[in-house]
Amino acid sequence: MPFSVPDGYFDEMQRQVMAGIGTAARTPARERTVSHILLRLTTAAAMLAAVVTGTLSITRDRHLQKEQMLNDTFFYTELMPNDMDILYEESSYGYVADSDLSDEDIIDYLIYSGIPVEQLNEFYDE
Amino acid sequence: MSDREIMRMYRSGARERAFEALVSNYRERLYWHIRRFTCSHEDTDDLLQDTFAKIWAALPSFREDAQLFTWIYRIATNEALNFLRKKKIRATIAFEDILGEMEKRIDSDPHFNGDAIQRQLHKAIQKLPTKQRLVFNLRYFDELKYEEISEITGITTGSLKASYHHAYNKIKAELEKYF
Repeated sequence: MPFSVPDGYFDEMQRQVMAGIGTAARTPARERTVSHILLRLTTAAAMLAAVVTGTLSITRDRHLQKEQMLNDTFFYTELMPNDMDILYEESSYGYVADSDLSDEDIIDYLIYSGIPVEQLNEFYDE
Repeated sequence: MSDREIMRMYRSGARERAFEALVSNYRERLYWHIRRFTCSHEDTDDLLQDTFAKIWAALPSFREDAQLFTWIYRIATNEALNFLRKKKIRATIAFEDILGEMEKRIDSDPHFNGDAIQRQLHKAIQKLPTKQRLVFNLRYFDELKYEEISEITGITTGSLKASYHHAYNKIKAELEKYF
């Protein structure tokens, strides 16, 4: 690598890492257990509150949503194209969405088909 | 000491000694792996220490059906990618040019001792999309096999090969502008 590190960096870094885990390991197990229990209880309470609030909100909105979906269905039915000329090009009978392939798509396809990367590199180098 | 010996020592109860051997084995490889993303010694130092702290915390749950080496690399890679993600979000909010900043970091790095080609190579790597940069670094610098990279990243080997190919061509085109 064309980069360097300060003198003695790796030994010093290792010393700091080991000191860090030593501190964690020396923390009394009881103290850690109590704080973990408190943290879990707080998290559980927050999650319960979120679930209750969400359920109430969903129940209230469900009726309105059903009505809205019914209206939307009729509305979008009017907009759906049903003329085949819109979906297919006459000249090729190919699906319009498939007609624009990039170089990257082609390379991906060739690699997935088993062409070795090195062979593709040679081809593109020429 | 091999990974297998480290894990045997860890399981026998000598956990801190085993971890010390692990840090000693991996500290340099992980340092360079992370530094290729951050382009800064200080950021790399922080991320490397966080990486080892996470490895220590997660070692009890390490399942030995996976390789220790790929598992460790995955944790380091996640740290590096999270760092980049946060940096990108901060840069977007502040309307900063993240690519320009990375190039500046390479130019002003007091620990850079390479030549002009190596400087341009590292700048070109910074221009790659994250996935391509990750694959290129692991393949080109760490010389890992596609299967190993796949285990680290969870990306299929076919997709990795395609990403490496795109990265290779982009870097080649970038270097041709200068040399």
